[in-house]
Amino acid sequence: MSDVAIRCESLTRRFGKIVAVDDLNLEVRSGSVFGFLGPNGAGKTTTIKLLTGLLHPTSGRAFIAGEEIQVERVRARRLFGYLPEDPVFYGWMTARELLTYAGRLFGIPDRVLKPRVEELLDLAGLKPVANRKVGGFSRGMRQRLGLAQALVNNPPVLILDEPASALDPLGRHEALALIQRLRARDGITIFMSTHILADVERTCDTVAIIDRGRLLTVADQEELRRRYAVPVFTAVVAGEEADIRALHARLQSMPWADHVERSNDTLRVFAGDEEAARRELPAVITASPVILLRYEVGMSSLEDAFLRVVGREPAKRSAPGGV
Amino acid sequence: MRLGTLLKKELLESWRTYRAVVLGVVFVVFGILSPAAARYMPDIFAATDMQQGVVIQLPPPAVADANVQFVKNMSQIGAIVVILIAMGVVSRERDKGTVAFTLSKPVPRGAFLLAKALALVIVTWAALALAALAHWYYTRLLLGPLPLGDCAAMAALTGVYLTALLGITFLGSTLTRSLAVSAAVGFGGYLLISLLGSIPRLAPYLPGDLLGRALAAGNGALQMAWGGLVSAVVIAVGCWALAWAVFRRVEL
Repeated sequence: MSDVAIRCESLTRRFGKIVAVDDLNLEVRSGSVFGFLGPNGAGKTTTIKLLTGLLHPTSGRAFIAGEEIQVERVRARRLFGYLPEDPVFYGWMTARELLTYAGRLFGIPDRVLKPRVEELLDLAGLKPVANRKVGGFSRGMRQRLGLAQALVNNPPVLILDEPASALDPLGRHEALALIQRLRARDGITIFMSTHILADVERTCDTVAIIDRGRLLTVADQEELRRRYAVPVFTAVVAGEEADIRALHARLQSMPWADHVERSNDTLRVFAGDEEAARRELPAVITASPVILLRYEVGMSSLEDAFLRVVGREPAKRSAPGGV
Repeated sequence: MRLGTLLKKELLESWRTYRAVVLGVVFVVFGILSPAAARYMPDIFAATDMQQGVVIQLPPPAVADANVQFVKNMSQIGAIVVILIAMGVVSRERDKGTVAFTLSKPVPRGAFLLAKALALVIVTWAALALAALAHWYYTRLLLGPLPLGDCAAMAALTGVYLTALLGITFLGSTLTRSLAVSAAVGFGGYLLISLLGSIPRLAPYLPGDLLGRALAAGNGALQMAWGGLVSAVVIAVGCWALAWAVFRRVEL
């Protein structure tokens, strides 16, 4: 396989007047775990349906492992495994039957398929329920079965639409752990859409951010953090409500503070000028009647970077670097 | 290879979801009821006459009466059951989302539809064959000899008529993800064929013509005219082809 696992060329999809995906140009490196991040309604699922040939593009093209994806083209579908956002299966089949059926649809001979199905049941932790009907499965079990069926043909590319967003904490933990195991084991390219930043932080090496159908940025996770991260000064204080409110207002008026967040007794100052903030912030706090309980200096999180990129953060200055 | 996998799945699904069982049981019940009704209806009427003082003269029951009942039952109740079974075959999968599971894999959409249509035809014809056997056995038992070949020809011609209805309902099921619309297309097609069949000039060229010929076949007096047969096959194949032409462009 070439270095590029997924490529979109000016991929556009309109639904009437709504542009769900707008001139998307994207390349996903082979072997990466690619987080496709965006708020609800950003165009993530539409992009994935275009990539899997379930939707026609209005214009533009998409390629997986060099093969162009089209609704009527069957050959390209050998090259990826797909887990939809809400995986639905034939409830009358058992998990083992479903994986066998999926494998046969790929034309895998039974002598190869049989051990492969057992291996996948094991990988997904479904061996104890392999002979149970899928109709009785919990959402988490269906998600793991969905991952297993997406892997049945050993695809070079795995496309996952919100693989963990609807799961409870345990289910989410299991699904993400499975994705991490895959990455470590197979060197597969994983394209994963999500709106949960913690999932991206945990699993993805590269992140694209999309909003209102437009690609806003693509970067390695660390680079994204570097590019958009700002110093954050966290102060936990105690005192009268009016005094804390006054301190909050005072900090917001400081020229070196981009933005100040307050959550109960915690104030987070996003500093535009780190040097000035380091110099003056402790003095501003001690000058107020509140008592300083804790003081920390760190960098903003991926979530803060995401909010800056999608323009949902009331920062005073624009984000550094091109978007 | 892929068609075989899909067809096997469809047949297994028909069995596990009891669709094939329901169809088989309903058809066999009417296969048995047809000679039974022909045999015992005069007795039932006679008993009613005695109570109400009304005299109805009925000829002695004959094999031909059982055949009339069979063709009527299959072309009316059988047709309704077939439409009910077929109406969700594609639309239900689209509505539930299971269609994306199959079609995101290297499966041609034509094969997907063909497997579903073939499974419907196989299940319907198998149920009809069982019904014909039951009808043949009980007719011999209650009324007199019925040549198996005549009975088979009667069932086969009725089967072709039902296959045309299957085609129409299948098309409806492919056009939409709504069960109600699929049912409306199926029942609408059934009514239209029946209504047009009442126009004498059109009747020989519509699938309904097969029912009269089925009856004649059951009575050992088949005179084949091809209008009904050709129209039924054209409707069945044409509806599948149209369904495929639409479905290959459908977005999921």
